[in-house]
Amino acid sequence: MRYFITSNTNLLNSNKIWKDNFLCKTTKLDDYNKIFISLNDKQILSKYENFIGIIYLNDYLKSNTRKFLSIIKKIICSNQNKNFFFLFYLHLSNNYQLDKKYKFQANMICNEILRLKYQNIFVNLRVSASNKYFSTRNKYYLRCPFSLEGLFNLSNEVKKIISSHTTKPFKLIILDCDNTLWGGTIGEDGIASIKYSEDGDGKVFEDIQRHLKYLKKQGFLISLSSKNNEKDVWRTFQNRKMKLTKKDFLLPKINWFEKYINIKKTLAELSLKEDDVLFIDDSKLEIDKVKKKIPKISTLISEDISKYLEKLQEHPRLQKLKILEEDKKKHYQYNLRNKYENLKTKLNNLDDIYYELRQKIKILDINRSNINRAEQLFNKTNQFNFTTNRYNKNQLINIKNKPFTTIKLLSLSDKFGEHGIIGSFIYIQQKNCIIVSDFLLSCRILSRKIEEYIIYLIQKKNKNKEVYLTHVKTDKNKELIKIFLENNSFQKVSKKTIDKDKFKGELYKVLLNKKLINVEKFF
Amino acid sequence: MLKNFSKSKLIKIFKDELIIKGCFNEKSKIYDYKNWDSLANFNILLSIEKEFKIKFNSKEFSALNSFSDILKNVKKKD
Repeated sequence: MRYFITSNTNLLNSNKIWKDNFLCKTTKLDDYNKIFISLNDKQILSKYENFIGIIYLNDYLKSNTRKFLSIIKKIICSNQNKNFFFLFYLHLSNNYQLDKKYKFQANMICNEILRLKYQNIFVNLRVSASNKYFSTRNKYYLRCPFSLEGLFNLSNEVKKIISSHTTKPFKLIILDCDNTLWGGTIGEDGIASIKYSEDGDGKVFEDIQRHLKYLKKQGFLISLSSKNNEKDVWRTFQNRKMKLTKKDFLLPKINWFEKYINIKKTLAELSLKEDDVLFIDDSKLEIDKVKKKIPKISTLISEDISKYLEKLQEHPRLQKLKILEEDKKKHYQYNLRNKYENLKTKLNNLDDIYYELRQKIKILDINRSNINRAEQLFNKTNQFNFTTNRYNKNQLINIKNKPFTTIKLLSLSDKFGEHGIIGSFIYIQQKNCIIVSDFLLSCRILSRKIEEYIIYLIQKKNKNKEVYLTHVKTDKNKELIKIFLENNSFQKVSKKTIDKDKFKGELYKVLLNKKLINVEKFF
Repeated sequence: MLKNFSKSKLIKIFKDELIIKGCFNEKSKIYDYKNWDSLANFNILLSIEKEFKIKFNSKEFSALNSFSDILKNVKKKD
C-alpha cells in the first residue's frame, strides 16, 4: 500500500517529527501547498493508491468555500478507485459570530463530501480554539498554521490512519463478564449490587457496553467466555437493563470449563483463526492460561477499567475505516452458519443435509455496488484461497476488462437466509484449456459442497476444455486446500505439459467424474 | 538565564537539525551549511522552543538566523 500525503499548508517536511514518526519508502510527503497540483498529476495518481489530504480549512472559509468544494469533489469523482483520507483542521478565532459561520461551513464541506457515498472516502474534522495546537506566528512566518505540538499530533493522526488501514481488524471479541462487562462478581455481590448504571461508578461499564454494541454494528462479532452460572448471567443482562442483550452474543460459553477450552470450541464452530480474536478478561491468571494454550490470540486485560475503555476505543485492530454492508450483516451471517451446524447434528446423512439446505448460488459480475466487497474478499481470505493473490479495486477492474479472462463473484442463499457474497474466481482461457488463477471462498460456508459445485460449473461452462486449478501453497491455505484436493478428483500435472509458465505454483487438472457431476443435485 | 539551558545542548540541536556529524562552527549562520536553509532555520527555532520551553516572538522568529544571535537571545530569556 502506498500513501501520498499532501496539504494546502506547509507541513515542515524536513522537521524531525515526520522522520521520527513513520515516513518510509511507501509513504511520500508532498511539497508545500501542492495539494491541487498533485491530486491532478497523472503520474502521482498512477503511482499511489491512497491519498491523505491535510487541509487547513480557515484558508477556504473566507471566500472560496464553494470553489474549494467543487475542486475536491471533482478530484474524488474522477478517481473513484483511489482511497481518500481528508483530515480537515479548523482553528476557531474565539469570535462568536465568526466561529459560528466557520463551523457551519466546515460541517457543510464534510457533509457534501460524505454525501458522495463512495466507500473509499474517510473524512475527519478537528475543530479547536486552543493555541496549543495552532500558532498564528507559524501561520504567517512559515505558512504552517500548527504549533510543533499540533504538528506532532497531526503526524500521529496520519500514522493512525495508515496503521488502521493496513492492519487487519479482529473478527471476534470474546469477553469475560465479571469486572469486564460490569463491576464486581455476580456470584459474590449479587445481581442487584454489581456496578452498572447510567451514572456514578457503574457508568464506565455502561459506556463499555455501549462501545461494544457499536463495534458489533460495525461487523465485529462478540462472544462470551465466563466462569459463571449461565442463568445468572442472562438474568443480570435482563434485570439490570443493560445495553448488551443475550442476542448480541454469538455462541456464548458460560460454564465452569477452562476458558481456553471454550475459546477453542468457539473458534472451531466459527472457522476462525486464533489471530482473528481478541480475548478480554480482568484476571491476569486467566489471560496467561489462555495465552499459553492459544498463543496467537490477542488479549486485553480489563483490570484498570478506565484504561480498558480507552484501549477498546483506540485499538488499531478495533478500527474500521470502511464499513461495508456485508460487515453489518456479519452477526446474522454467522448465526445462519450456526443454524446449519445445528441441522448437521440433527441429520446424520450428509446428502440429506445438503438437500434440506436448499442452497442457491448466484454468479455475479463485478460492478460498482460490489467492488468493495470483492476487494475485501481478495485481501482478507486466507484459508480457502488457492493462490492468495491480493488485488486492489484498480487491479480487479483491469482483470475484468482483460480479454480471455473471466472474473466472477459468488453469492449464497439457503433455507435459513442470505449469506451475501461469499467467494470469487478468476479464470483465463487458453487455446485448449482453462486456467483457474484464483479461487477463494469465505470460511464460514465451507464443507457444504459449494467449493465442488463451483469447480463443476466452471468445467460445465467450458465443456470441451480441460480445466486446471492453480495453487500456491502458503502457511495459511495449505491445510484446507490439501483436504479439498484430496477429497476430490484432481490430477497434479507438470507445468511443462502446457504453456503455463507464467502461472505461479502447482497445477491440478479437474477430473470430471460421477462424484463431481453428482454435486449439481444439491443446488 | 534559563535553568535547563546549556551551550552544549544548543549545539546538539543545531547538529541534529542540520545533520552535522563532526564539529559545529559556532560562528556559522544560515546557508553556511548545506542543510541550513530557511526551513531548517525555522525547524531549529521550533526545536529550541521545545527543548528550553521558551517562545520566540514574531520579530525574533524572522530575524534570528545565526548561531551567535540565537545563543545571545536564548541566554537573555528567563
